[in-house]
Amino acid sequence: MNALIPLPVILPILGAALCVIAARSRTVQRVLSLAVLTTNVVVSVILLIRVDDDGIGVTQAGGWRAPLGITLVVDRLAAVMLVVSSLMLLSVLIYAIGQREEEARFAAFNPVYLVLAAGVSASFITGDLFNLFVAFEMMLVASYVLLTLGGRPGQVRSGMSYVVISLIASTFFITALALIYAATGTVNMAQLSERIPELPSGVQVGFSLLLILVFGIKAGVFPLFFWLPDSYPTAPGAITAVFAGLLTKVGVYAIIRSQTLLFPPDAQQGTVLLVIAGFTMVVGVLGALAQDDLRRMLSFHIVSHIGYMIFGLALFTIAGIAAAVFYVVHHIVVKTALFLVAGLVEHRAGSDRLSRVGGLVRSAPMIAVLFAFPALSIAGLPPFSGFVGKFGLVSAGIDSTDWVIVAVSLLVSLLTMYVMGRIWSDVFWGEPEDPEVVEWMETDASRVPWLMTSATAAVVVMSLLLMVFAGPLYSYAERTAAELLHPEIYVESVLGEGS
Amino acid sequence: MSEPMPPTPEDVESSQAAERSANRRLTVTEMLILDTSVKILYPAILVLALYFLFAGHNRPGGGFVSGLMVGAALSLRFVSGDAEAVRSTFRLSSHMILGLGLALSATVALMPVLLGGSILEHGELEYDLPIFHHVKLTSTFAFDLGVALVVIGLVLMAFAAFGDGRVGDPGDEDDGSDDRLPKVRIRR
Repeated sequence: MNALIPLPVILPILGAALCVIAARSRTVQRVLSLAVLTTNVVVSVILLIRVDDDGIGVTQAGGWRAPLGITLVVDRLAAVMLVVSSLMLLSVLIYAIGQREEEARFAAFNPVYLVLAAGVSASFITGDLFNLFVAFEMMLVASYVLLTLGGRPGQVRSGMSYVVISLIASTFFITALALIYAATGTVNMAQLSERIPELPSGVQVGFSLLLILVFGIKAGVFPLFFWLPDSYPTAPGAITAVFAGLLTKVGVYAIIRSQTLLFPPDAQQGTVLLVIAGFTMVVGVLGALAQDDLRRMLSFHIVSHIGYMIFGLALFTIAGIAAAVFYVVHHIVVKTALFLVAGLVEHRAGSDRLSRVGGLVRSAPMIAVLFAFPALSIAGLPPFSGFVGKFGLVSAGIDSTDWVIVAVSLLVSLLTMYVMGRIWSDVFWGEPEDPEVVEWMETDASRVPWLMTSATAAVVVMSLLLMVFAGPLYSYAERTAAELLHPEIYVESVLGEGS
Repeated sequence: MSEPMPPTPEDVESSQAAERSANRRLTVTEMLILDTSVKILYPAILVLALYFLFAGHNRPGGGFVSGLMVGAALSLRFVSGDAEAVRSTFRLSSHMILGLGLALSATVALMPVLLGGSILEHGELEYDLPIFHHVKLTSTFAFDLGVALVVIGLVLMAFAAFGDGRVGDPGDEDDGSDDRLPKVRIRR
């Protein structure tokens, strides 16, 4: 099994190389990208099954033993993230091919998209803090290109702020790495897990906060989220879906990983994270309420829901972390689905402004159905997966007697329902308010390609499957949480075996 | 000696040798010192780049440094000649160089996995040859070569994007297809 571990990173890179060579043939590029991402899905599923049965998988790049070489580790958390991310990347690629926009017009799309896929996978499987940095950079550089494909003035403007904020975050990250290395003499996460507890407690807390800052910028938590709602909506339609679904969650993954693995319980920032989580939830959802642009609204909404994941982590109990893991998985799928639907709405109505579009429930009933399921799920209505996640979080919060955060999360849940209701009543009910929209919807160009609809439908079906298989998935999340709260298992599988 | 002429379609279609001599004629008259030093430096830097490429597996150097050196040499030619001079250096288009390099490195990284080892592991061959004495060839050399090609391709693309009057790839101006990589198009 361990031979499979590097594949989710190296295959997309090889695919990207071949796509660059085949820059002249869009067909070859498409076949390559689809083949690579499909293989990734298969490999990830195999890894997930094996990791769940046999425990953590470890491989040492170059054959160098653990603290010296580059360690690649797949534990339950990494495996489930790999599966979900590869599924989303594949679906969004199909959507992009159907859209015939950026993907069809730019030869660079496919290779860069594959590099993004490699960066996302690498962030999940690396067992080495420095390589986490490298993976982040790989992902970011690819996202700079994808964000500004098209070169519209708005894209370049918000692309600039995205680049600047990411560079600042990267600078903090590399500084943190240098400090950690200076203090402990290693960047191998397993070894850090052994050495950080030996440091003075002030230094431990400092490192912990520094890493929360770094990953918090990527994850878009309060008060570091300001760049997110500004830059995501300007990206090409399909790309926004991947960014919204995956990139912030890679930041959340890094927070979960670093807090649980690297720091002993007394340096874990439970209270700080709880406060951050509360503010993130409230500010995000209030921001979403104030928007008129569908994709901006959903972007603010991501911020709000990042708060839920941080809330689950901040409890540092099995129930809390299990709920957070389940919530991350649920949110990736559902948010990607919502953004893909937003793309469909924009394609069908020629605009994604709530004040201009209307009446889609009659003119495009399929889109309305595709919107309804993920919207109800994210609002947390039973029996959808969002309800399972939120129920888990709230009951974990009640177990830990953190009443304030429980109250905040319930309130935000209500507001989320209001946001989704507003989108529904403005976009799907009523009449189109803008004559241009009416005119556009009568043209042939407004017809949505079947490939876009089916890719969206596939993601929506996946979100429904999360509901159907919520039981097994939740017990998997609980096993994941148990593993995360016992970092010595991780440490032993990395350092003990040596290979 | 003639004044610099903007490149016309005839220029583009003329043979590469003729273009090179035309470029040399312009620069000799205008930038004698620069051009003479570039003539000496260009091959010297390339040799140094080769040295770094071969030394890289266990001494300072390596594919990245080597690629940067080649990039530096190209940039000198770019300053003394023009984009045309750089363009005529390689037969392959820049994205092809980049892609082949990346494919080579990725394949070398992947090979050990197929052979039952772990990723990025390397193999080596050692020989005692008549003139070169002890020669050691490792598979990291192929990896380094790939990295060097990626860097060279990237440098060429940067020249194409920023330094060239025309937007497009060096070496493939012959077809007007829409597939060229470094391309900026404004959305409606």
